[in-house]
Formats: sequence, structure tokens, C-alpha cells
Amino acid sequence: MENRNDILNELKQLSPLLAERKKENLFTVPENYFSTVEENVMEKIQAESVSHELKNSGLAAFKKQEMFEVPYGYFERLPNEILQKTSRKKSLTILESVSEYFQYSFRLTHLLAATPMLAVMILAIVVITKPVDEIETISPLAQISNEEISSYLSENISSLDESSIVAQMNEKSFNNLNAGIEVQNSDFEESLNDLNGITLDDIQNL
Amino acid sequence: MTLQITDAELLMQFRTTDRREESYTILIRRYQERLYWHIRRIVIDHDDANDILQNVFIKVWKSLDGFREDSQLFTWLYRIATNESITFLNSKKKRFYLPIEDVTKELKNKLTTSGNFSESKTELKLQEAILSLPEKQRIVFNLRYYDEMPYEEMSRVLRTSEGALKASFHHAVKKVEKFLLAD
Repeated sequence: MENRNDILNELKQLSPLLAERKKENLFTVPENYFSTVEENVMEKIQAESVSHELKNSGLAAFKKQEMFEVPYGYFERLPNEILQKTSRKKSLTILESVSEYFQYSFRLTHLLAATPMLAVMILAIVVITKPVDEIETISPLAQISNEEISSYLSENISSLDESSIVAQMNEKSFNNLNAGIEVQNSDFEESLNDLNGITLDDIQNL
Repeated sequence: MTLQITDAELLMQFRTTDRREESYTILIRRYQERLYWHIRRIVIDHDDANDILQNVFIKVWKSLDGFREDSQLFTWLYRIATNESITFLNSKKKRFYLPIEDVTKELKNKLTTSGNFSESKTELKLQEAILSLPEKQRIVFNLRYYDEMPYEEMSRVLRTSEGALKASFHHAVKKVEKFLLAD
């Protein structure tokens, strides 16, 4: 095999200019470049071998099976269902576009204007949804016990006369008053006798 | 383990021991510079050369077990590096639909515009002359002129007859000389 001198001699014969020329290296490399090559290469090799191992692992060989099921004929019906929905939607598209435009245009001004109203609504929702026993606006009458009512009536009964009580009542009140009370003819007779000795026959003969 | 170990011993260690990575690190240290400069003279740009060099070593790692030792390890590495560099240039042509003249023009531009080049004007002129050669002739010139590679070994790297390589080198030298004397 040729040695270095053979190669130089050939060049001298072909081109003395090139043979006598000092060989310089035009190219340079970043500082410490060659001390990083082995590290970079080994890192890549390790990364590739990890990915290769994953490919060959049992997980990759595991047959993928779908564990979920769909109703019979689902995929056959699906295109038609989508088409129906999209065609129905098309007719609404223009209206929706206009609506969206206005919604967008006025969104900011409306948002500012609606802020106080929104606050009131939120407050109302909080009050409405609050449990009844927590609401402070419970009827004051409901808070008075039966004993207190009885005591009040017994102390003030003298100031109540029949006409004033009747004046406060309407037809509904009377019906409510009579609700659940079964009055027999004998009850009426007894009551009339108690008053003035009037019998039921007397009244019917009137 | 030292760098004095022969290629054959290195290969044996790589194949038979659990110190594959250690053996391979020595191999990289041993050949990285020569391979880098060979690649760099073909693709000119440092970043491209770096990518190709790393790819070469990754490919070698994958196929070193199957290396039959018909040729020297060094020759085999050169062949892989040359093929990777040519593949890179071809993919560039295909990717950007560039004719070979435009790739050469781009490589010439890189000589003057990108970083990692010395400011030697005579060397720049020589590189421009080399870049004016056809791709294969350029590789032959670089291997003979810079790497001082015998035709026999070059024949194994490029899978071309020694006679054809000799003729190619002679043509290349004459063209380069003419280019240098043109001014």
C-alpha cells in the first residue's frame, strides 16, 4: 500500500503549486466541541435503546381491544343523525349569526348596565333559596305561643262584641268556621230552648 | 482501559463484555476528529457536520455487532460517514428542489457567511476551488489531499476502482490549480 511519501510525490508531479502549499484548516469548531461529542452520542444511544425496549416490551405486544360497546347499528345510523342535526342547524345559522353579532356588539355596554341588576338578582336568589327557618321575615304571629294568645283574649274579651267580630268576617270565614262541624236538628232545638223556649216547629211554622 | 488498545481488541470487548459503553466511548474518542473533518469538508457547515457525525456513531453502535471485519474498522467508519454526508446533501436537494449548482452555491456562501471559519484568504480560495468540483471528485480530492489516503483504502471506502479514483484525483488537481491561478 502507498505510504505518505508516495502520495506527496504524486501531488508534486501533478501540481507543484499545491504540493508546496502549506495545508491550513479553514474550518474551526466551537470551543471544547470534541470533548462533548461522546457524551451527546451516548445520550442519544441510551434514549434510542429505551424507546426500542418499550417497542419490544409486552405492553406493545398486548393486543389492543375495545372494552366499551355501542348500541347495535349505532355507527350505521350515526351519519344520518349527524346530517339531520346539521341540516336543521343550517336553517338557524343566519338568525344565529345576526343574534351573535348583536350579542357581541352590546355585550360590554349591557354588562356594565346590568351589573346592579345582577347584584339584586343574586341577593334575591340567596334569600329565596335560604331555608325557611333561617329567614328573619317569619310572621310575627307565628312566633306567639298559644298560651300568650289565650291570655290576651281572656284579658281583652270584654272589649269584643259580636257585631265587631261579625264585621271582620266574610263568607269564606264563615265557611271555614263551619268546616268539619256537623250540626243536627236536635242541636238546634236544644239551643233554641236554651234561649227563649222556642221549638223547631215554631220556626218552621213561621 | 487505555486508548492504546487495538481496534480488534476494542471490537472484542464491545461484543463480549458488559463494558460496551466504555468500549464505544473509546472508539468515539479515537475516530471523532478524523470523521468530523471528513464530513465537514463535504457539508461545510458545522451544525450539519455535527448532526451527521452523531448519526454516524449511532448507526455504528447499532451495527457494530454485525461488522464482519472484511475491512479495517477505520475504513468502514469512513464509508458510513461518506454515505451519510452524501445522503444529507441529496436530501437537501430533494427537500428544496435544488439543482446541484445551487447546493454548491449555498455551500460557497456558507464559507463566507456562517461562523466557525478562519480568516485565511488563501485557504478560502482553495476551498472555493474544491467546491467547484463535482461531488464525487470533491470527496476524492479531500480524501487524497487532506487525509492522504492510499487509493487502495479509498477504493474500499467509496466502492470504486483504484484506476477510476486515480483518474478522478488527477482531474480534480488540474481543475483546482487552474482555479487558483485564474486570478
